[in-house]
Amino acid sequence: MEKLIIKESLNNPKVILDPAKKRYEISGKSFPENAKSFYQPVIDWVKTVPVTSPEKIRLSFMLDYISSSSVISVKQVLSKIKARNTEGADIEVQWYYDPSDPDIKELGEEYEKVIGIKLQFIERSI
Amino acid sequence: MELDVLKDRYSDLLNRYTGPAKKIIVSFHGEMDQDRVSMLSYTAEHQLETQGARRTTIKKTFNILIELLQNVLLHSASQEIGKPFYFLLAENMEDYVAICANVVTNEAAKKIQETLDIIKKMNEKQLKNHYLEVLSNDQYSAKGGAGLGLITVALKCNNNFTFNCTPLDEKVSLFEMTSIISDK
Repeated sequence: MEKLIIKESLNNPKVILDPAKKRYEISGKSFPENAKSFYQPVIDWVKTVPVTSPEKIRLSFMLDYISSSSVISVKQVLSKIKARNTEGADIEVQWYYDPSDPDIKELGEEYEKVIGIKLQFIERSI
Repeated sequence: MELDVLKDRYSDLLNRYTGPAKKIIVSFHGEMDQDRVSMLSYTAEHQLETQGARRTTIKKTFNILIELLQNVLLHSASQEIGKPFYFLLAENMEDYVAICANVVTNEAAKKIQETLDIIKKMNEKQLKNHYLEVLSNDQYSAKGGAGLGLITVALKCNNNFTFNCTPLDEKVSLFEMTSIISDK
């Protein structure tokens, strides 16, 4: 499980997946031109999370805005997390939302329905 | 020919949204790329904040603009230059109007028209169910979209949209979509 860092830009979120610092987060606005290729390294990283003697990983999604193509890609990331957990990994997804903006919370609830994954909803103020 | 049509339509649009109780917030005519998607959507967001639009209205508008502009990026098929388009966000009475147009293949125009005709007949609950159905079905189109973009636009503007596809020749059409966002 190596470190994966992607810098934030005007249209893509910041990605920090850093096992040494135990810091795992995806934050910002997500509308890259090609969401599929943007999120592929994240999916590849999830595939490397250990399934034997796993340490709990708390991965935080702190998204302010997410475009429709990113919605599908994040779904693929979450589906991979669910599959990896079934294999023995221990990844908890923390889904941050701004209570004044119902969209992000609703999206998390839709992911729970569609994927069957359990998210930890955490309120935050922006 | 494509470029002349776009230029004339854009010019008409600017005239249409100039006058009493109307105000153009952001408008643009040119070629599309990802930087332009960011530039236009952030400019619109900033302008709406400056003029005191409600936070939920700003969010909805930002959502709609990104989907409309990224559609141009993903689905343009100009035979003359890269990805020509025009875009306008205006205030009209108590509403905001977002208009975006670009050149698509006639085949794509037919498909978009069929999709939007179906969406247009749905009520809010049906639209949400349709959104979940598409989200459940994991397929990307060859261009990277997933069909969620148009449904997202419809949901954010409470299905208050119109569109038209004007054939330009035997290969391409001009697709224009107008979404009305209420600030009430």
